[in-house]
Amino acid sequence: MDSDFMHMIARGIVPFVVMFVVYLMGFMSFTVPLWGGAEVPFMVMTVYYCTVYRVRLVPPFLLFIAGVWFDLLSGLPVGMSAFLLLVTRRIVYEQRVYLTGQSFAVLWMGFVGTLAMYAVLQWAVFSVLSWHIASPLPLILGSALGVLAFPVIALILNLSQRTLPALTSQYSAVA
Amino acid sequence: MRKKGKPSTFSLFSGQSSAGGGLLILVSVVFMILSAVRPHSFDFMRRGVSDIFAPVLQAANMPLQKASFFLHGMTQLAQLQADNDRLQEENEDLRAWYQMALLLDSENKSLRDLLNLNIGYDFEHMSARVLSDAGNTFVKTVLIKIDPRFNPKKNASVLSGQGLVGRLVEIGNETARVLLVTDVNSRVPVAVEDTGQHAIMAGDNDGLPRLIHLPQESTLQDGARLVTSGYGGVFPYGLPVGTVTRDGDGTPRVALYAQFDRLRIVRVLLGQKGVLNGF
Repeated sequence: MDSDFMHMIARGIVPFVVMFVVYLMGFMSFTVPLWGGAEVPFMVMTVYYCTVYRVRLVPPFLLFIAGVWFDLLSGLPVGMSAFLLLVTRRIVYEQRVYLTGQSFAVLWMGFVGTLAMYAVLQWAVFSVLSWHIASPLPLILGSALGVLAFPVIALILNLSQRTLPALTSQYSAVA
Repeated sequence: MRKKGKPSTFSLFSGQSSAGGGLLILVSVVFMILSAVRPHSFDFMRRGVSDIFAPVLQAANMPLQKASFFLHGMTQLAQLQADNDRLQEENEDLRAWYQMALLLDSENKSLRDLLNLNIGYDFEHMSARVLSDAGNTFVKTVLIKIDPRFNPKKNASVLSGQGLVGRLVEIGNETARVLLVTDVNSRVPVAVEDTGQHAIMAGDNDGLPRLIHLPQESTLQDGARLVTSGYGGVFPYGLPVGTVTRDGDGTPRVALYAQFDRLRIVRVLLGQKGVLNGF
């Protein structure tokens, strides 16, 4: 393999490492003083941002594996997170033509809408699977934290994706 | 450059074709239905994945736990003086109760000797570190690191320093999953310590589990202490659970002793020392 190819591979790994770190953060609970613990939807942020700007970084098989892995570790019904992430990716992929090239405020608003859809779907799917109407309050808190945290995660992902090598015609990835 | 013609298998799942994404969505739905119909289908995978991922989770969670405790400490600064005064008063009360407890223990032993009755409530236990927080919105479980030499059993009771936390539902080689008492699938038989009144504590995915299956004529007092009743054979008798409280609708709930946002080390009960002998 030529050195240019190896160099490109090395630089291409950085965004995946950053995405993996953000993925790990999805397993943690963040305690809000005087309010309680909440799960911040880091995976949704990653899927949304990458689907808009670098859709090749979030192929469906990767989301499927990440979702199933997350369900196995967190005790959720297996397949639930994979389903939600794949549906989210599909919807954002259809809408990305309206989001690319827009200001960050528009991107942020798009994330709010995506997160709202994801939260409602997550609540509905879990309620059906568990035969129990789940309380939506923890979701609301987690979603609020997610909206606030999105700019930070978007910045981190943006910086990490600047390491991606300029693609030559030989390795062109038409997104 | 993308080749024209029939898409390759790789392109089906790499995002170049919508059929791959649709197929994976279908597979996810099948998995979900299987999880709902046969919940234990994926247990062996969960155990394996937990064992593999445990070191990563432990390392990743450590800075967050420290930050959480620091933040919690900061918010408590304002209450330090009030807490200090309250604790000093409680300490004085506890000293008096300690003397009373010694007296009652001695009397208890004498009476048991007279009846030739031997009941032991000493439990063998194992300490375990919590690897991941109870942060999932819908499923209240935590992963703990276990020592396989102690051979903990499924449904073993798990306690914190304050009270009951949950029970073991999955056990791997290095890790185990604890179903918390706040989980919607958790049911714990409890009893009021003073009156012996029985009920079932049902998790609600929030911090205050409900008390269900109460007798119609029950008169629960707010603040009454609840312990495990031993019914059902899963949780042994006498484990501290919490106190009775009520929500805005007057529904009886349980203010748990255990503090789930600060779980670091838990105790897993391995077995009960002592046997109930006949008269």
